Amino acid sequence: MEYMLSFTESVTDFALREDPENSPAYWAAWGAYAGSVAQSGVMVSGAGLQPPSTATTLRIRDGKREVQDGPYAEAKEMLAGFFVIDVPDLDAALEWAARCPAAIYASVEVRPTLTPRQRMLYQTLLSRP
Amino acid sequence: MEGVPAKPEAWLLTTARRKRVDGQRRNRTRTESMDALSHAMETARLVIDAGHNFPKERLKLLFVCAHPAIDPAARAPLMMQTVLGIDAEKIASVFLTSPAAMSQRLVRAKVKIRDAGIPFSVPGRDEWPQRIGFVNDAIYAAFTTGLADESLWLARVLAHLLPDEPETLGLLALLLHIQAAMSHELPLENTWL
Repeated sequence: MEYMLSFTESVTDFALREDPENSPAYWAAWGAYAGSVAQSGVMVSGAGLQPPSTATTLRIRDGKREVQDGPYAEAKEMLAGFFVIDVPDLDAALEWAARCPAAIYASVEVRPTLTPRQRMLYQTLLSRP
Repeated sequence: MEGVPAKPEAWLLTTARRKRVDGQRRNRTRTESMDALSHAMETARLVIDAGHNFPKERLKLLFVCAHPAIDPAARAPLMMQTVLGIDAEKIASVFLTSPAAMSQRLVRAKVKIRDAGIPFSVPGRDEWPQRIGFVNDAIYAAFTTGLADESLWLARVLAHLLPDEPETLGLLALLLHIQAAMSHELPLENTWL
Protein backbone atom coordinates (compact mmCIF):
# COMPACT_ATOMS: atom_id res chain seq x y z
CA MET A 1 0.00 0.00 0.00
CA GLU A 2 1.07 3.54 -0.63
CA TYR A 3 1.01 6.07 2.17
CA MET A 4 1.81 9.74 2.21
CA LEU A 5 3.78 10.90 5.22
CA SER A 6 3.22 14.63 5.52
CA PHE A 7 5.53 16.50 7.80
CA THR A 8 4.45 19.66 9.50
CA GLU A 9 6.63 22.27 11.14
CA SER A 10 6.01 25.38 13.16
CA VAL A 11 7.33 28.82 12.24
CA THR A 12 10.25 28.31 14.64
CA ASP A 13 11.07 24.98 13.01
CA PHE A 14 11.13 26.60 9.58
CA ALA A 15 13.44 29.25 10.99
CA LEU A 16 15.89 26.52 12.08
CA ARG A 17 16.71 25.90 8.44
CA GLU A 18 18.54 29.22 8.18
CA ASP A 19 19.72 29.52 11.75
CA PRO A 20 23.55 29.47 11.66
CA GLU A 21 23.84 27.60 14.90
CA ASN A 22 21.13 24.96 14.43
CA SER A 23 20.80 24.52 10.70
CA PRO A 24 23.63 21.94 10.35
CA ALA A 25 21.90 19.60 12.84
CA TYR A 26 18.52 20.21 11.15
CA TRP A 27 19.79 19.35 7.68
CA ALA A 28 21.86 16.42 8.92
CA ALA A 29 18.81 14.81 10.56
CA TRP A 30 16.64 15.25 7.48
CA GLY A 31 19.42 14.15 5.17
CA ALA A 32 19.94 10.95 7.15
CA TYR A 33 16.21 10.24 7.22
CA ALA A 34 15.69 10.87 3.49
CA GLY A 35 18.75 8.72 2.78
CA SER A 36 17.46 5.75 4.74
CA VAL A 37 14.01 5.99 3.13
CA ALA A 38 15.60 6.07 -0.32
CA GLN A 39 17.98 3.21 0.46
CA SER A 40 15.29 0.93 1.85
CA GLY A 41 13.50 0.94 -1.49
CA VAL A 42 10.10 2.03 -0.10
CA MET A 43 10.29 5.54 -1.57
CA VAL A 44 7.77 6.34 -4.32
CA SER A 45 8.17 10.10 -4.36
CA GLY A 46 8.64 13.03 -2.08
CA ALA A 47 9.86 16.56 -1.63
CA GLY A 48 10.78 19.06 1.00
CA LEU A 49 8.95 22.35 0.71
CA GLN A 50 10.11 25.93 1.04
CA PRO A 51 8.56 27.92 3.90
CA PRO A 52 4.83 28.82 3.78
CA SER A 53 5.78 32.45 3.15
CA THR A 54 6.73 31.41 -0.38
CA ALA A 55 3.26 29.94 -1.06
CA THR A 56 0.72 31.38 -3.45
CA THR A 57 -2.92 30.33 -3.28
CA LEU A 58 -5.34 30.37 -6.19
CA ARG A 59 -9.12 30.11 -6.29
CA ILE A 60 -11.55 30.51 -9.17
CA ARG A 61 -14.65 32.43 -8.07
CA ASP A 62 -17.34 33.49 -10.54
CA GLY A 63 -15.06 32.38 -13.33
CA LYS A 64 -12.34 34.76 -12.17
CA ARG A 65 -8.92 33.86 -10.90
CA GLU A 66 -8.16 35.02 -7.38
CA VAL A 67 -4.48 34.76 -6.66
CA GLN A 68 -3.29 35.42 -3.14
CA ASP A 69 -0.03 35.62 -1.32
CA GLY A 70 0.46 32.93 1.37
CA PRO A 71 -0.80 29.43 2.16
CA TYR A 72 -4.50 28.46 1.91
CA ALA A 73 -4.87 28.62 5.69
CA GLU A 74 -2.71 29.93 8.48
CA ALA A 75 -2.05 27.32 11.12
CA LYS A 76 0.33 26.67 13.99
CA GLU A 77 2.00 23.90 12.06
CA MET A 78 2.37 24.02 8.29
CA LEU A 79 3.24 21.48 5.63
CA ALA A 80 7.03 21.27 5.35
CA GLY A 81 7.42 18.26 3.09
CA PHE A 82 6.14 14.81 2.21
CA PHE A 83 7.14 11.33 1.19
CA VAL A 84 4.99 8.79 -0.56
CA ILE A 85 6.18 5.34 0.47
CA ASP A 86 5.13 1.85 -0.56
CA VAL A 87 4.92 -0.51 2.45
CA PRO A 88 2.79 -3.54 3.38
CA ASP A 89 0.56 -1.94 6.02
CA LEU A 90 -0.13 0.96 8.37
CA ASP A 91 2.20 -0.34 11.07
CA ALA A 92 5.12 -0.32 8.62
CA ALA A 93 4.19 3.22 7.54
CA LEU A 94 4.01 4.31 11.19
CA GLU A 95 7.49 2.88 11.74
CA TRP A 96 8.84 5.16 8.99
CA ALA A 97 6.85 8.08 10.39
CA ALA A 98 8.36 7.49 13.83
CA ARG A 99 11.88 7.75 12.44
CA CYS A 100 11.50 11.16 10.79
CA PRO A 101 12.87 14.25 12.59
CA ALA A 102 9.52 16.08 12.50
CA ALA A 103 7.95 13.36 14.69
CA ILE A 104 10.02 14.61 17.61
CA TYR A 105 9.56 18.39 17.33
CA ALA A 106 6.31 18.61 15.32
CA SER A 107 4.07 15.91 13.82
CA VAL A 108 3.64 13.55 10.90
CA GLU A 109 0.34 12.64 9.29
CA VAL A 110 0.15 9.18 7.74
CA ARG A 111 -2.54 8.73 5.13
CA PRO A 112 -3.07 6.02 2.51
CA THR A 113 -3.16 7.22 -1.09
CA LEU A 114 -6.20 6.59 -3.24
CA THR A 115 -5.44 3.49 -5.28
CA PRO A 116 -6.91 2.79 -8.75
CA ARG A 117 -8.75 -0.18 -7.20
CA GLN A 118 -10.32 2.06 -4.56
CA ARG A 119 -11.30 4.67 -7.13
CA MET A 120 -13.11 1.89 -8.98
CA LEU A 121 -14.76 0.74 -5.74
CA TYR A 122 -16.06 4.22 -5.01
CA GLN A 123 -17.44 4.49 -8.52
CA THR A 124 -19.21 1.13 -8.19
CA LEU A 125 -20.64 2.16 -4.84
CA LEU A 126 -21.89 5.47 -6.22
CA SER A 127 -23.45 3.87 -9.30
CA ARG A 128 -25.58 1.55 -7.16
CA PRO A 129 -29.24 2.55 -6.99
CA MET B 1 -13.68 -80.36 26.99
CA GLU B 2 -11.95 -83.33 28.46
CA GLY B 3 -10.35 -86.50 27.18
CA VAL B 4 -9.79 -87.63 23.62
CA PRO B 5 -12.47 -86.63 21.03
CA ALA B 6 -14.42 -89.44 19.40
CA LYS B 7 -12.92 -88.62 16.00
CA PRO B 8 -9.58 -86.86 16.66
CA GLU B 9 -8.78 -86.20 12.96
CA ALA B 10 -12.20 -84.65 12.25
CA TRP B 11 -11.90 -82.57 15.46
CA LEU B 12 -8.48 -81.29 14.48
CA LEU B 13 -9.71 -80.39 11.00
CA THR B 14 -12.78 -78.56 12.30
CA THR B 15 -10.75 -76.67 14.91
CA ALA B 16 -8.16 -75.68 12.34
CA ARG B 17 -10.85 -74.45 9.95
CA ARG B 18 -12.52 -72.40 12.70
CA LYS B 19 -9.19 -70.92 13.82
CA ARG B 20 -8.52 -69.86 10.26
CA VAL B 21 -11.94 -68.25 9.90
CA ASP B 22 -11.39 -66.43 13.19
CA GLY B 23 -8.05 -65.14 12.00
CA GLN B 24 -9.49 -63.91 8.73
CA ARG B 25 -12.32 -62.14 10.52
CA ARG B 26 -9.82 -60.45 12.81
CA ASN B 27 -7.77 -59.33 9.82
CA ARG B 28 -10.83 -57.94 8.07
CA THR B 29 -11.89 -56.03 11.18
CA ARG B 30 -8.40 -54.56 11.47
CA THR B 31 -8.31 -53.44 7.83
CA GLU B 32 -11.82 -52.03 8.00
CA SER B 33 -11.22 -50.20 11.26
CA MET B 34 -7.95 -48.69 10.05
CA ASP B 35 -9.84 -46.15 7.96
CA ALA B 36 -12.17 -45.27 10.78
CA LEU B 37 -9.31 -45.07 13.26
CA SER B 38 -7.11 -42.88 11.11
CA HIS B 39 -10.10 -40.64 10.41
CA ALA B 40 -10.71 -40.36 14.15
CA MET B 41 -7.03 -39.56 14.68
CA GLU B 42 -7.15 -36.85 12.05
CA THR B 43 -10.26 -35.33 13.54
CA ALA B 44 -8.65 -35.33 16.97
CA ARG B 45 -5.54 -33.67 15.59
CA LEU B 46 -7.65 -31.03 13.82
CA VAL B 47 -9.50 -30.28 17.03
CA ILE B 48 -6.23 -30.00 18.95
CA ASP B 49 -4.66 -27.75 16.31
CA ALA B 50 -7.76 -25.58 16.19
CA GLY B 51 -7.48 -25.20 19.94
CA HIS B 52 -3.99 -23.80 19.43
CA ASN B 53 -4.67 -21.53 16.48
CA PHE B 54 -8.04 -20.18 17.46
CA PRO B 55 -6.91 -18.09 20.43
CA LYS B 56 -4.01 -16.76 18.37
CA GLU B 57 -6.36 -15.64 15.60
CA ARG B 58 -8.66 -14.12 18.19
CA LEU B 59 -5.73 -12.43 19.85
CA LYS B 60 -4.79 -10.85 16.51
CA LEU B 61 -8.35 -9.65 16.13
CA LEU B 62 -8.30 -8.24 19.67
CA PHE B 63 -5.13 -6.31 18.95
CA VAL B 64 -6.44 -4.96 15.64
CA CYS B 65 -9.46 -3.61 17.48
CA ALA B 66 -7.15 -2.02 20.07
CA HIS B 67 -4.95 -0.36 17.43
CA PRO B 68 -4.03 3.22 18.38
CA ALA B 69 -5.08 4.37 14.89
CA ILE B 70 -8.71 3.50 15.73
CA ASP B 71 -11.03 5.97 17.43
CA PRO B 72 -10.69 5.22 21.17
CA ALA B 73 -14.47 5.26 21.60
CA ALA B 74 -14.83 2.51 19.00
CA ARG B 75 -12.24 0.06 20.31
CA ALA B 76 -14.18 -1.75 23.03
CA PRO B 77 -17.44 -1.90 21.01
CA LEU B 78 -15.55 -3.17 17.98
CA MET B 79 -14.02 -6.00 20.00
CA MET B 80 -17.34 -6.94 21.48
CA GLN B 81 -18.85 -7.17 18.02
CA THR B 82 -16.07 -8.85 16.05
CA VAL B 83 -14.48 -11.08 18.68
CA LEU B 84 -17.44 -11.96 20.88
CA GLY B 85 -20.22 -11.59 18.31
CA ILE B 86 -22.45 -9.29 20.36
CA ASP B 87 -24.96 -7.36 18.24
CA ALA B 88 -24.74 -3.60 17.84
CA GLU B 89 -28.01 -2.98 19.67
CA LYS B 90 -26.82 -4.68 22.84
CA ILE B 91 -23.44 -2.94 22.63
CA ALA B 92 -25.24 0.39 22.26
CA SER B 93 -27.24 -0.24 25.44
CA VAL B 94 -24.07 -1.05 27.37
CA PHE B 95 -22.34 2.13 26.19
CA LEU B 96 -25.51 4.21 26.66
CA THR B 97 -25.80 5.32 23.03
CA SER B 98 -28.43 4.79 20.37
CA PRO B 99 -28.15 1.67 18.19
CA ALA B 100 -27.86 3.87 15.09
CA ALA B 101 -24.97 5.86 16.54
CA MET B 102 -23.24 2.67 17.66
CA SER B 103 -23.64 1.02 14.25
CA GLN B 104 -22.19 4.10 12.60
CA ARG B 105 -19.23 4.10 15.00
CA LEU B 106 -18.58 0.42 14.28
CA VAL B 107 -18.82 0.84 10.51
CA ARG B 108 -16.48 3.83 10.59
CA ALA B 109 -13.91 1.84 12.56
CA LYS B 110 -14.09 -1.11 10.15
CA VAL B 111 -13.70 1.16 7.14
CA LYS B 112 -10.66 2.72 8.81
CA ILE B 113 -9.13 -0.73 9.38
CA ARG B 114 -9.68 -1.65 5.74
CA ASP B 115 -8.76 1.62 4.04
CA ALA B 116 -5.83 2.61 6.23
CA GLY B 117 -4.35 -0.88 5.96
CA ILE B 118 -4.20 -1.67 9.69
CA PRO B 119 -2.52 -5.10 9.78
CA PHE B 120 -3.99 -8.21 11.41
CA SER B 121 -1.06 -9.09 13.62
CA VAL B 122 0.00 -9.30 17.22
CA PRO B 123 2.11 -6.19 17.84
CA GLY B 124 5.71 -6.24 18.99
CA ARG B 125 6.37 -6.69 22.71
CA ASP B 126 7.24 -2.99 23.15
CA GLU B 127 3.72 -1.96 22.15
CA TRP B 128 1.89 -4.32 24.48
CA PRO B 129 1.68 -2.08 27.55
CA GLN B 130 -0.24 0.50 25.52
CA ARG B 131 -2.42 -1.92 23.58
CA ILE B 132 -3.20 -4.40 26.33
CA GLY B 133 -5.10 -1.73 28.27
CA PHE B 134 -7.68 -1.39 25.48
CA VAL B 135 -7.99 -5.16 25.18
CA ASN B 136 -8.63 -5.41 28.92
CA ASP B 137 -11.21 -2.60 28.75
CA ALA B 138 -13.17 -4.48 26.11
CA ILE B 139 -13.06 -7.80 27.94
CA TYR B 140 -14.32 -6.16 31.11
CA ALA B 141 -17.04 -4.33 29.18
CA ALA B 142 -18.16 -7.62 27.64
CA PHE B 143 -18.20 -9.23 31.08
CA THR B 144 -20.63 -6.62 32.34
CA THR B 145 -23.04 -7.28 29.46
CA GLY B 146 -23.65 -10.75 30.80
CA LEU B 147 -21.15 -12.56 28.61
CA ALA B 148 -19.35 -13.81 31.69
CA ASP B 149 -18.23 -17.17 30.31
CA GLU B 150 -16.95 -15.78 27.00
CA SER B 151 -15.11 -12.94 28.68
CA LEU B 152 -13.61 -15.20 31.32
CA TRP B 153 -12.42 -17.52 28.58
CA LEU B 154 -10.80 -14.59 26.75
CA ALA B 155 -9.21 -13.34 29.97
CA ARG B 156 -7.85 -16.84 30.63
CA VAL B 157 -6.44 -17.16 27.08
CA LEU B 158 -4.85 -13.73 27.42
CA ALA B 159 -3.35 -14.54 30.83
CA HIS B 160 -2.03 -17.81 29.39
CA LEU B 161 -0.46 -16.06 26.36
CA LEU B 162 0.87 -13.09 28.34
CA PRO B 163 1.74 -14.61 31.72
CA ASP B 164 4.03 -11.69 32.67
CA GLU B 165 1.45 -8.97 32.09
CA PRO B 166 0.25 -7.76 35.52
CA GLU B 167 -2.82 -5.96 34.13
CA THR B 168 -4.01 -9.09 32.37
CA LEU B 169 -3.53 -11.28 35.44
CA GLY B 170 -5.28 -8.65 37.53
CA LEU B 171 -8.24 -8.60 35.16
CA LEU B 172 -8.58 -12.39 35.30
CA ALA B 173 -8.43 -12.30 39.09
CA LEU B 174 -11.07 -9.57 39.20
CA LEU B 175 -13.44 -11.41 36.86
CA LEU B 176 -13.05 -14.66 38.79
CA HIS B 177 -13.73 -12.85 42.05
CA ILE B 178 -16.88 -11.21 40.70
CA GLN B 179 -18.12 -14.48 39.25
CA ALA B 180 -17.51 -16.32 42.49
CA ALA B 181 -19.33 -13.62 44.42
CA MET B 182 -22.26 -13.70 41.99
CA SER B 183 -22.63 -17.45 42.27
CA HIS B 184 -22.71 -17.04 46.08
CA GLU B 185 -19.57 -18.99 46.67
CA LEU B 186 -18.42 -15.85 48.41
CA PRO B 187 -20.59 -13.62 50.55
CA LEU B 188 -21.22 -10.33 48.72
CA GLU B 189 -20.88 -8.16 51.81
CA ASN B 190 -18.29 -7.75 54.51
CA THR B 191 -15.45 -9.27 52.50
CA TRP B 192 -11.99 -8.02 51.73
CA LEU B 193 -11.11 -7.50 48.09
